[in-house]
Amino acid sequence: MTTETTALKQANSEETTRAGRTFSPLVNISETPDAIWLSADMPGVDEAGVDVRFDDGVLSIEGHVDVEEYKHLTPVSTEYNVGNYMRRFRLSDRIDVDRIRAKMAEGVLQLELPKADHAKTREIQVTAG
Amino acid sequence: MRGSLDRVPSVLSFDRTPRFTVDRKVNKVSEDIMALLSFARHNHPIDTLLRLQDELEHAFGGTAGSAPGLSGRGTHPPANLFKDSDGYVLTLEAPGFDAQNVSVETVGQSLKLSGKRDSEEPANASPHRRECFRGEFQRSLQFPADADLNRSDAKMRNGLLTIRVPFKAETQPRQIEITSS
Repeated sequence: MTTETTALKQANSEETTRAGRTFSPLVNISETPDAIWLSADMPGVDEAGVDVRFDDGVLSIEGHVDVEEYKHLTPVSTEYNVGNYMRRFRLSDRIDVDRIRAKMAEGVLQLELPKADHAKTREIQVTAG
Repeated sequence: MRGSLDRVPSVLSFDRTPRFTVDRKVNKVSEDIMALLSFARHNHPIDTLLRLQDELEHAFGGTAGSAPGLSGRGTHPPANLFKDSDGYVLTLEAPGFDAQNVSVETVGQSLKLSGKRDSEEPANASPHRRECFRGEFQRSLQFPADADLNRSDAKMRNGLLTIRVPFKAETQPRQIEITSS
């Protein structure tokens, strides 16, 4: 088992120029022999409002929430704030970036980050002699 | 960090399912033992942890849904309550919840919400980070007297559950026509 967590170190967060508040989405990260799986909770974001980028080893996840429907509402009691989402992760070069797949369903972004072939665990035959 | 910055005195009372059921039980047992042995109870590590958790919860506004407690974030999904000219609007963050796995029930002036979220990860995956809510939740919300829960409707979209509860017709101002005899 490789410890891919170290390869998925969170990159330094950067300032955004977009108006409104930005929150860091909660994520689950897990690993199978072939891929790293990342899911990010971004309630209120649909597939058109999500932006996944890979640039210079950094995976960026952004989600944009339409706050228009909250404009005419008066808060009575609030437990969470509404805003856009952004989070960055630094990926190791052992991820095959060309085969990264993203899916958005029920406000959850699911990413499959396939490992590059040379990063997969291989069993090495030991011969006697 | 997502806190509750827009905190307004609550009209609703948020009944929460007890957190740390197991821990409390363990704590209870150890407390009893400690009492028998006449140890200083407040020095027990679990007590210290629970006290710290209470302090944290207090510091972050006492909302388990949005405050980072010792159990990790979110023992139930957070909800917001709004008002507009027609009634109340309750929004619950329920990402990854299937509409079939969420139930909304009304009893008198209270609204009962429950739901279940399964893990979408492959079964053979080994976890590295677990920040998102998984499992079951249940909470009950008491609405003010002018809320007509019988006429409420719920919809689920992009991981947000929105429940509209109109005002009761009889609590709304009504113009009375004056007739001249």
